[in-house]
Amino acid sequence: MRNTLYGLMLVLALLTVGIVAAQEDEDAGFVVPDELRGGEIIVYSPFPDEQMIALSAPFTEMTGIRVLNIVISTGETYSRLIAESGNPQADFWLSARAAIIQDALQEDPPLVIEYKPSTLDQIAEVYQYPDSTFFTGVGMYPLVVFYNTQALEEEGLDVPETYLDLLDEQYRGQIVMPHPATSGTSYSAITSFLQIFTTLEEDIDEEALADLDIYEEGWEYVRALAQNVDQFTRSGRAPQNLVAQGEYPIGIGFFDAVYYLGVDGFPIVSVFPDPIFADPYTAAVVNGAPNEERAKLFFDYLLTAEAQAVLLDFGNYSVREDIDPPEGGKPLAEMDVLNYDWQLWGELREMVLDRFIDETQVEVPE
Amino acid sequence: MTITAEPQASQQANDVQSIRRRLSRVFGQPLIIIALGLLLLIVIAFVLYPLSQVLTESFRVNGEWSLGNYERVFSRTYFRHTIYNTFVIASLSTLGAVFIGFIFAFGVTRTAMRGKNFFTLVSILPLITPPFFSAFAFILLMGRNGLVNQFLFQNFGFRVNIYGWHGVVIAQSLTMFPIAFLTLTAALSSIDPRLEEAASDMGAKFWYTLRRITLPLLTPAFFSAAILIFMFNISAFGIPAILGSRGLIWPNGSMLGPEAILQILGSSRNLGIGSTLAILMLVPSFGLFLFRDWYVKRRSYITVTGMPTAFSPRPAPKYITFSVTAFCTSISLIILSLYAVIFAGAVTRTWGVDFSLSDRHLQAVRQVSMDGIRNSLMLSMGGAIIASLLGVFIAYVLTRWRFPGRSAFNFMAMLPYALPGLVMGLGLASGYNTGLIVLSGTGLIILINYAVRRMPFGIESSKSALSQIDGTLEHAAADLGAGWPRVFRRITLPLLAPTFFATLTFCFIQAMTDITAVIFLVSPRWRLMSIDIFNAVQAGRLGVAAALASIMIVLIVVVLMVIWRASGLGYRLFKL
Repeated sequence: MRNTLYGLMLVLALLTVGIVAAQEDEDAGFVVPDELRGGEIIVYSPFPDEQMIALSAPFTEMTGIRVLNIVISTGETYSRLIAESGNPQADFWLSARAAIIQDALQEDPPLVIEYKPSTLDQIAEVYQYPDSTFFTGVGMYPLVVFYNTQALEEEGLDVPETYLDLLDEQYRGQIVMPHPATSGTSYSAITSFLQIFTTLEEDIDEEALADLDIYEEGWEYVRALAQNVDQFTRSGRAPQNLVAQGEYPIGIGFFDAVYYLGVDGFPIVSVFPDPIFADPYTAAVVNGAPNEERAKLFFDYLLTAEAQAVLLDFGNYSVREDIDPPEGGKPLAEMDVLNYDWQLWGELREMVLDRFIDETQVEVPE
Repeated sequence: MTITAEPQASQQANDVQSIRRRLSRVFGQPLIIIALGLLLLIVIAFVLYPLSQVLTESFRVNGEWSLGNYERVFSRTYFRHTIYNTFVIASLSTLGAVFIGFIFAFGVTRTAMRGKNFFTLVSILPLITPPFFSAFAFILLMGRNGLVNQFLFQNFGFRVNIYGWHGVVIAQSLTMFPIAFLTLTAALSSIDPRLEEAASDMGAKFWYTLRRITLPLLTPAFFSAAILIFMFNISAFGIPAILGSRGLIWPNGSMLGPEAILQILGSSRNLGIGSTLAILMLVPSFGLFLFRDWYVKRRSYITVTGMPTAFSPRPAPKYITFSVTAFCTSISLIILSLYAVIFAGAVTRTWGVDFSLSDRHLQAVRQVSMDGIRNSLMLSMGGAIIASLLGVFIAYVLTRWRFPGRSAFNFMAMLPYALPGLVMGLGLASGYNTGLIVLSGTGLIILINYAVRRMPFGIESSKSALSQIDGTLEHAAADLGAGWPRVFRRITLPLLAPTFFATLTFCFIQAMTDITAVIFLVSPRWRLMSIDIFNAVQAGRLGVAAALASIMIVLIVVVLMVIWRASGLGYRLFKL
C-alpha cells in the first residue's frame, strides 16, 4: 500500500519534471506540432514589406510555413474581411487597435475569432488584457511629437517639449498631423487630447462620460492646435515622411516610423510628452481562416523573443519585459502612460469625428 | 484556252465562285455567332455587371435604396470642392498637354528642326511608364530635399514648392502630351501641304496661314486628343494622390480619383460614398466618349481629303523653327531628367540626405518584390495577348461580314474604353467577391481586367488596319480556291501582323503600368509591381520605389526591343 503510494508520487514527480523540462525545451510555450509544418498563411497587415519579411523569416525557418502578405491599411483590411466573410482568403490580421478588433468581433458573422496565444504569459502583464479572451498586445509604439532638426533650426524654432508647447505662436503653420477621420493614429491623438486636457469629477458615471460637451477643455486644446496645423494628412504615416524630408519641421504621430526614418539617416527626432498615449496594438486570427491552426501558431510566435527582437528593429517597444526599448526610445518606466479609455472612444468614434469637423472647420470627410 | 474564249466555262466558273462565296458566308456564320457571343459574354460579365455593382452601391445606404450618398456628396462643401478641383485641374492639364503635344507635332512635321527622331523618342517615354512616375520624379527633384531645391536653397536661399494644383497640372501635362502629339502628328501629316503652300504663295504670312488654314483643319484632331486626355485626367489617381495632397485650387477639397479610392480603401471604409464619386467621374467620361465617337465620325472627311502626298510641306520661318526647337529641347530635358533622377534614386543610399551609392534598395526589391515582378510580367503579357487576339478576331468579324445590329456590337465593343479604370476595378472586385463565381484574390481576375480593358484598343487598331487592307487580295485568294480559314491564315493574318504586334506592345505596357483598376484586385498571392511601386512612394520609401520603377522601365524596354526585333517592325510600332 505504502509502496504503491510512493510509487505513484514518484511517477507524478517525474511527470512534473518531464513536463517542465519539455516546456523549457520548446521555447516556453511555442510548440510546433508536426502536422502543421509546411504550408502557408496569408497575413493582412499595414506593416511595410521589409518588416513583414524580417518578421516572418525566423517563423518560416522554425515551422516551414510560408508567410504571404500585402501592405494594406487597417480600413482596407476591415472591408476586405467583410467582403470575404463568405469565403475567407486571409488567415491572420496583424496590427490593429483593440477597439477595431472589438468592432470586428461584433460583425455578423464575426470577422475574427477569440484566441489567446499559448505564449501569453511571457509578456508583461499590462499587455495581456487579462479581462478579455481575445485581446493580446503584440507590440507598442507611443504617440510622439517629432521634429526635423535641420528644418527646425532653419526656421529658428524652439524644440517643443510638451503638448501645450505646440500651441505657441511660433509653430503656426509648421505642424503636420494625420486627419482623425482617415487615420486611426490621429483619432488616438485627438481623443488622447480630450482625455488629457479635461479635468473630470472623480465619481463621474459612464453615461456622463459619453457626453462630448464635458470635454470642453479638451476641445479648446484641439481647436488651438488645429490653428497651428498646416496639413491634416490622410495617412497616419505621412507626417513622419514629410517631416523626415523636411517638408514640415514638426509632426505628430507614432514613434516606430520616426525610428526607422532616423535609422535611414534622416534628421528626425522624437519628443515624448507626458502623459503619453502608449497603448499596444493587437492582432487576431481570421474567422474561418483556411489555415486557422497555422495562424494561431503565428500568433504564438509573435510574442516570442525572436519575433519581438525583429519588431524592435522596426521601432516597436517589445511587449516582453526582457527586451529593452528601441534606441532613442524613452523607457516605459519613465513615461507617464495615459490610461486611455479605448472602449469609450471606440464607441464614440462617429460623434467625435463630427464634432472635430465642427470645432476645427477642417472638413475632411469621414 | 482562255476564259473569254470559252464562255460556257466562264459561266461555270462564275457559278462555282458564287457557290463558294455563299459557302464561305455560311461557313462564316458560326464564326460570327462565336465572335458576337464571346463579345456579348465579355461585355455583360466583365463590363456591365461590374458597372451595375458600382451603380447599385452608390444608390444604397445601410443596405437600403437611397439617394443619400448623392445628397451627401452634393451637400458637403468638401465634396463639391473636390469636384470643382477635379474638373478645373483636369481642364488645365488637358490644355497643357495639347499645347505641348501641338508644338512637338508642329516641330516634327512643319519645321526644319534638327533631331526629330530624338524628340519623337522622348515623347514616347511617358507612354511606356506609369503615369505617376512623373509625380514621383518631381518629388525627387523638387521636394524640399530634392536636387533642384537643394541647389536653389544653397545658392539663392529659397525653394520652389511642387505640391499643389500647379504640380498636378505640370505632371499631368507632361504625362499626357504624347497622346496629343501622336494624334496631331498623324493629322498634320495627312493635311495636304499644298493647301498651306497655296496660301503662302498667295502672300499669306506664316501666322495667317497657321490661323486660317492649318489650325482649322486640325480642329477635329485637337478635339479628339483633348477629349481623350480630359477623360484620363478626370479619373486620374496617381499624380493627384502624390502631388495634390495640399494646395489645390479649392483648398478645402481633394480630387475625385484619390478621394474615391481613399473612401473605399481608407480607414473610413465608405464604399457607398466611394462608389458615388466613381460614378461622378464615369458620367462625364462616358458622355465625352459618346461625343467623341460621334464627332470623329462626322468629321472623318479630313483624312479622306488629306491623302498623304509626295510634297513635303514648306518649312516654317527660321525664328519659328528656332523657338519650337528651344521649346521641345527644354521639355525633353525635363522629361529625361525625370527618368535620370529615378535611376539615380535607385542606387542612392537615402535620397536628400545621403547621396552615396548603395545597392540596398535593389537588395530590398530582390527580397520583397520578385513575386510582384513575375506576376506583373506574366499577367500583363497574358492580358495583352488575349486583348490583341480578341481584337483581331472581333474586328475581322465586324469589318468583313455584314449582319444586322453591327453598329450596336461595334458600340458594345468600345464600352470598356469609356469606363474609368477605377470603376472597372472596383466593380470587378465587388462583383466577384461572393456568389457563384468567386474570383477575388485570384490572378485570373487581374488577367481579365487587363484583357477586357485593352480589348477596345485591340479592336480599334485591328479595324483601322483591316480597313486599309484592300479586300481584293482576300477575294482573289478565295477565287483561286482558298477556303476561308486558309485566306485568313495566309493573307489576312500576315497583313495584320504589324498591327497585332503593335497592339500587343501597347496593351502590355498599359497593363504593366496600370494602378487605378488593379489597386482593388491585388492580393497577397497576387501582388503586382505597379502597386508595389505606388505603395512605396506613398509610404515615403522613395529609394525602394525608385529601384522598382527603374526595373520596370528596363523590363518594358527589353520587352519592347524583343517585339521590335521579333516582328521586324522597329519604330513603326509607334506609328499606330
